[in-house]
Amino acid sequence: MLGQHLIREGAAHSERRAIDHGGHLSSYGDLRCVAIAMVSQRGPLAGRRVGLTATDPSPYIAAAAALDWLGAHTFLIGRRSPDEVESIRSRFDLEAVLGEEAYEAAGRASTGAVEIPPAHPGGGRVTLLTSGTTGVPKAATHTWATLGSPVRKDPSLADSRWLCAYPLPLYAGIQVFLQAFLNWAALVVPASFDPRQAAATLVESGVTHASGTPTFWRQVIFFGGRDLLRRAALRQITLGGEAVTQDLLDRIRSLWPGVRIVHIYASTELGRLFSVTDGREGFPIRYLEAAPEPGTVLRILDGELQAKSAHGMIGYEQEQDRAQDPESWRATGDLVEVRGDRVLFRGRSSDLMNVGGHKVAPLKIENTLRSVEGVADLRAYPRRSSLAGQIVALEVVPAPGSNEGDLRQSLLNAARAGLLPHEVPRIIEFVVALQPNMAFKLTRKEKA
Amino acid sequence: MGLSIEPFLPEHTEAVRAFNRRLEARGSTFRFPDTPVPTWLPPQDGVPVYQEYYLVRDREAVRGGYILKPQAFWVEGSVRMIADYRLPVSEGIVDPRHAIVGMLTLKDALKRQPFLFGLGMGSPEEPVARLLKIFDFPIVPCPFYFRIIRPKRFFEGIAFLRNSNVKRKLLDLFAATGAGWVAMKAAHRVRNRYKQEASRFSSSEEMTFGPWADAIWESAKGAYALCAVRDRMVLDTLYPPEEHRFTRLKVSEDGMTVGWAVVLDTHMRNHRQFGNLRVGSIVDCLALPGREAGVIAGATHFMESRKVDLIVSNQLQRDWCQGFLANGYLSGPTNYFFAVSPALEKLLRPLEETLEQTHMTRGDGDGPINL
Amino acid sequence: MPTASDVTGAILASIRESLEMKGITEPPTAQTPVDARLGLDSLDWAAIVVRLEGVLGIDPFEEGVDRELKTIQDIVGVYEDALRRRDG
Repeated sequence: MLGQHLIREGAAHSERRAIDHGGHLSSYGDLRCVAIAMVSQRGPLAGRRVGLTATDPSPYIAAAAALDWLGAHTFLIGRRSPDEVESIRSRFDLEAVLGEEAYEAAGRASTGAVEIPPAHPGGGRVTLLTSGTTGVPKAATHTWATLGSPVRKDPSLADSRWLCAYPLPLYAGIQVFLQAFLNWAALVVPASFDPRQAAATLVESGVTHASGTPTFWRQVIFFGGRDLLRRAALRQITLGGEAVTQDLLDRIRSLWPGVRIVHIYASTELGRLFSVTDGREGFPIRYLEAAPEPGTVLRILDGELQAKSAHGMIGYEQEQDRAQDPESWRATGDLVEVRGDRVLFRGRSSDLMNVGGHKVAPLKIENTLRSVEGVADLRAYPRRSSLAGQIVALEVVPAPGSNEGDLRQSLLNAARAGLLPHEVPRIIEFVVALQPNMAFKLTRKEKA
Repeated sequence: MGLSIEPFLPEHTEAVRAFNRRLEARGSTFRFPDTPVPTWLPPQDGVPVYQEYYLVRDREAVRGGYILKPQAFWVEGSVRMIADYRLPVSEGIVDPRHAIVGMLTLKDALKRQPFLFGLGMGSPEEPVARLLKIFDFPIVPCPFYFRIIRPKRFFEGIAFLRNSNVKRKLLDLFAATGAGWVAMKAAHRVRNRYKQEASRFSSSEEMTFGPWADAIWESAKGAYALCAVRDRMVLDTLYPPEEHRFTRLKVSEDGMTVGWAVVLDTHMRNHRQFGNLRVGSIVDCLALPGREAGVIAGATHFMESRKVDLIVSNQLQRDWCQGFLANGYLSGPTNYFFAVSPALEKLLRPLEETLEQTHMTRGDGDGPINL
Repeated sequence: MPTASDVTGAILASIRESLEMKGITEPPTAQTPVDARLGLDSLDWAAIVVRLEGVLGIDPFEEGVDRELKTIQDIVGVYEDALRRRDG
């Protein structure tokens, strides 16, 4: 699908802007030329298993399209150390690995009118590596067609500009780039994921649609500066990948009153399950009976959300991951709680802490303490303890001008009032910023 | 995990080395110094120019760092401490998880010293310059001046002119026929109004800066809106006698000291801009108001007699810039830029006027590395 | 190897931090008994031990402690023994 889209249909859209990477612009025509040159240069890769390490948008997309045209099975490796790439190469029996240099070589060769070698019948497959926050990343195989199935195709989107704050080799990044590409719109990738840079890019590149994790949005709002951010002409903000809380939705709404806020719930394996646009956290309880996304079915089992999906992967790449048959329910790993007409997210089951035998959810602690005056952001996570298994620790980013001593006291008062004794943080540290992982999500792994 | 920013202490040394190794493993050439006490300009009692190292750490590792170089500056009529923001290094350049680190270093630096500047940077597109722009630092170029002393060697060796195939062929031709020398000489002659007057200025090599340097500073400072304090103590700190590569020239006119220049004479090896040329540079300078062109003449004459291939300098203040042009220097593309924090800009308003009276040379900022 | 007064000082400081977090302002001494009268629960002690690991570099409770702990001085003794074993 991707190869055909860029190489065949792309001819009619050559002048349109495809990519804005830190101010450097490429048209669909530019990308198409390079993709065609790559097809000519990399013919021997037809039908083979090929790894792709490029992460910059132009090299990545041109190569992905070329490999799809060649019917290759592309493994989206992304930016990793040479050792990790080598281990992935041997784990998946890859026959070649392409990086940014393949794009440069093709760029030097492409000069305009080129004879296009015929497309490989059957198209290619593409394998995504999950972000692997727990242990070894799993490999989920899709086709570009299945990856593109949730994309909304709408002629009115032709002039839109989509900011992607996810690494492109991950599922969320692919969704944003396909959303732009399948509508011949522009993909905007900031020069770096630095929140100030992202805020400046929103304004300077005329971004109309922006996608990021809640952690990304919190950082952009906190570090980007309200005056700068208000100037962004955003029509739609999409959040996904982590639980979205009401306070964040409210903060976004106050900065951009007219913007459409979409919370997408998806996973690498299941694809997009549903989206929520009513400005409230969680999702409506009626989705448990009939989800709005065709092919999605949801249920709650032992406090955890389970799903079946039509946008799901074809299957896992490795035997040890193929635990279930593709037709059965898959656990999402997300804990939920029904409250009134709403299903609320309570955090990842893998984030649950064991404090002296009691199960503690970090999100509950964060949600209780987030509204304390003087808190800009915070994270609850476990510290290993020889005496109690784990104890609750808190990292807090103080709001500018707040007094740390007073803030510590306020947090403890709020904790003792709103949480059970074993949930009260026993260690509170002030930091200048929280650090997300590669997928721009906050992890809550135990720290010794 | 959460990030914090603290001064570099001895117990962080191993973590900084591990940080540098991670950068190297991922193909970056950036490194942060791995000693807590700076080797260049460590803090010393009573010396108003020194460096401080700061590290960005999370519980597991060092994720970045930056250097602050506080220095006494003459600002709009009085002396105050402002600081140079140097060498921010972030693991974000090889790992997007740490993308936030660069910005955090600048935020931290501004908190410690709102009157901050940046100098050097290579181009406004470089990551450091981009970061400063996001924080609303105005960025201005410090013009680059050069004078070719030995044209044949120059044309054969000058890297920045050899960027395109066409230019390369043309220049080879010039060098072979000697036509280049003629063309260049004509250009120099037109601009070299000072040639006769230049003979009045003589220069002598000094081992240290004597009381004469204090006298020059006292007389010269009033002409500047912004200038690093360049008295004897600071100059001996920046250009200590044991640093043999620096030549300290005291320039006199008809026997009276009118200024000084610090010059370098370097055989370049595979330099990005200068190839293998022997480059003389006027790194730093100060003069009695009105004597800038004369000081340049004295320094130029000294370097000519040393038979360097060309002489270069970066300047900002108007009289120095005009002085170089008057001495037959040509101006070329610069890679030396000056940026000021919003607080510093407010102090210097209106900025365009103040910049004309701002003294910035290769002696400021990082010091004359790469020369 | 930290001195005896360093170790006592670090332990008292860590205990004082947990007490302050509970609003207990009376400063503890080496003679203060470490039973329920002090006002700290098991999780507070866990936090104290975690903090001390950051300062002194050891957690003597990892392998279990079989001596009776009646006062803060007893805890100081446990740490001193462990430090002696580590530093020789």
